[in-house]
Amino acid sequence: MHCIKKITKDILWIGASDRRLALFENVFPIPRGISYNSYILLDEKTVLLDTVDKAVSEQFFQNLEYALNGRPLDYLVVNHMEPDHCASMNELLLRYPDLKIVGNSKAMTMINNFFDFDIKESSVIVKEGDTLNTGTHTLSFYMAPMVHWPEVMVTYDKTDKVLFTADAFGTFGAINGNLFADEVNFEKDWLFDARSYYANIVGKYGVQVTSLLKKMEKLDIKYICSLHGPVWRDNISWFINKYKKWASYTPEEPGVMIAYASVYGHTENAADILASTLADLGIKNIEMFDVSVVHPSVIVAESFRFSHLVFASTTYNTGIFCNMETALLDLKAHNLQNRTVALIENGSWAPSSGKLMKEIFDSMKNINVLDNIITIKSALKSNQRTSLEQLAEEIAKSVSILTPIPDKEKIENPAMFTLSYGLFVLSAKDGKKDNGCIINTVTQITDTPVKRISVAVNKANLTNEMIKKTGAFNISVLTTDAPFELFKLFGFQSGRDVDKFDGVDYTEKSENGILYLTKYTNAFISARVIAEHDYGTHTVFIAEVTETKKLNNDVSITYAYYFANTKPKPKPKTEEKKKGFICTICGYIYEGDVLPPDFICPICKHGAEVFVPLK
Amino acid sequence: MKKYVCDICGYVYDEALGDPDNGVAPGTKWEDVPEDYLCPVCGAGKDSFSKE
Repeated sequence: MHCIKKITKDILWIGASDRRLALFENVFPIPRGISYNSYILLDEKTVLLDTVDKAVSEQFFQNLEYALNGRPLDYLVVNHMEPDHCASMNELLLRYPDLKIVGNSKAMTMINNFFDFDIKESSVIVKEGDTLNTGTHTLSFYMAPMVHWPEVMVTYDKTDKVLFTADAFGTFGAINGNLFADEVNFEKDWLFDARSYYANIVGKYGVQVTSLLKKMEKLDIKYICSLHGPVWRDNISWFINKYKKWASYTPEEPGVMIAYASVYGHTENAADILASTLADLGIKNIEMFDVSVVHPSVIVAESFRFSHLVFASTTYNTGIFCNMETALLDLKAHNLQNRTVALIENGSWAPSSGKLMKEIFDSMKNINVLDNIITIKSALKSNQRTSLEQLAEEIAKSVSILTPIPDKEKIENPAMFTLSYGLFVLSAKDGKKDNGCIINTVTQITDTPVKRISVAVNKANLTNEMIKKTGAFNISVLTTDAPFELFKLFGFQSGRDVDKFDGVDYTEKSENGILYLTKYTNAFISARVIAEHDYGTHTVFIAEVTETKKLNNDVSITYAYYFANTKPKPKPKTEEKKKGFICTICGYIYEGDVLPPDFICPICKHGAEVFVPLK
Repeated sequence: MKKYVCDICGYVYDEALGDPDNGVAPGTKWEDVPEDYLCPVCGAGKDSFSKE
């Protein structure tokens, strides 16, 4: 008999769950089962969005028949062609031969590859932004290539503000009565599976997921309907923020995952001592896995979660122990990036697993492998224990930099805002590209024997990447003459999107080949980087001054002057009063009754904590 | 004639074959393929391709 759920007045869930399947995609253990979601829109036209896996097709067709209640089925929208969603298409067409199939050209090619029926008469090929009017609803189609297949698209119902996201926002786990994420304790009971699903199924395609997230920002979304797992209709931004972190390979939380490969327990012992030492140093977020006990998909998922990863492996047949090698090659295949990695190797003769593990990580993007690689010869001895404890200290220090201070009540922004700064255009050159951004964080550190300065630069800025790559930059010191347009030019847009120096006719080149501003400035300072320190959101560059020139005697602008005089004031009260919040950094106004706690200012990228209510 | 592989999805651009469906004639060297060329399978840009 039918077992369906209502989502909105016209949209129903008509999918089903499988609690018997042992391995999803014939590789991932799913002890909590899996759901195959299919949705139907009952408007003047009837629209089915994706079918289901063949294992649950009987339940699906009972659901579909009940939902249609004798009406014909007009459209099938194919968001994704993986057989766990399209397998029932064959049977569907036998039952509803007049059905029109809506999909992009890649999906049509795949239909012809998977199946033997001729769909030429019944296909409706759609492109980016195309729409389908079904009566009172309008569906729009947006392409999402490689999330996680090339033909994937998402469908948006403008009327009920529902986004059908294909496999994006999916999770392992059967639907047990409660369809909606707000009806269950998602963080406690589902997040592990959701993370595992993302990391293992979609994890390689972070760039493509980020493109989809950008498209989604332009849509008003009240419901997210994925092809697996719960439907989201509340607190959607929580899950989107998880996706933003995963897609950018940003760790979810500061902490340490220790994965070890141990045959007789000696390597395991070293891992235990490391974990215990970390705990003694105050680290509370530690997980340990034996790679011969857990499935590699667990290592992949937990590596997407933690900031610091330790891999301890014995040497086996002059290579990395087989199960560890499998896990590490899996991490590489999933494109893991942006982690700090520590390595421990063991070998009763010719230990080499450390060097080989390092080779794998060196071939991955932005993985910081700590120099202190511990080598054990059969069993840990006291001098290696000392090195191990030093490694623990190094990891603990690195983790605590990322860990937020717990007692937030004692820390207030108004006190931080009393610090005084200048304002500067920081510029760099990479190959042919000149770029720059606005910073306030320039300080002189030493005068003799060498003049040194420090600059702190947001990692989101392209200029940060250019300085990391080239090791050189200029500071143009801005004066009180600098107009708001200059701050907009260098501060409110990204060098990734535009050439900021295009059309700027008041520049010169210093000896290092980098541009500096000759207008709205009173000096420039050129410097070369001698050290770099990562502090989560910002990089601090310590640099030696290589060239300077004072251009005139105009007064340097201060941060306070900028806010009092340069930045446009919010509109006066006589105009229609807006309810909302204003960014104290750049003046951007968020309209609304409540500011989401995870809101990021779209102009200057600071978080909700710098917003104050509009008076 | 050389081959270039898309790092994202594995599609192989073979210089001998080109990609005529997307306006790239057979025999077109990779350097001569337009800079805004996109992988026909997954849409990635030229910078995601590596020499085979």
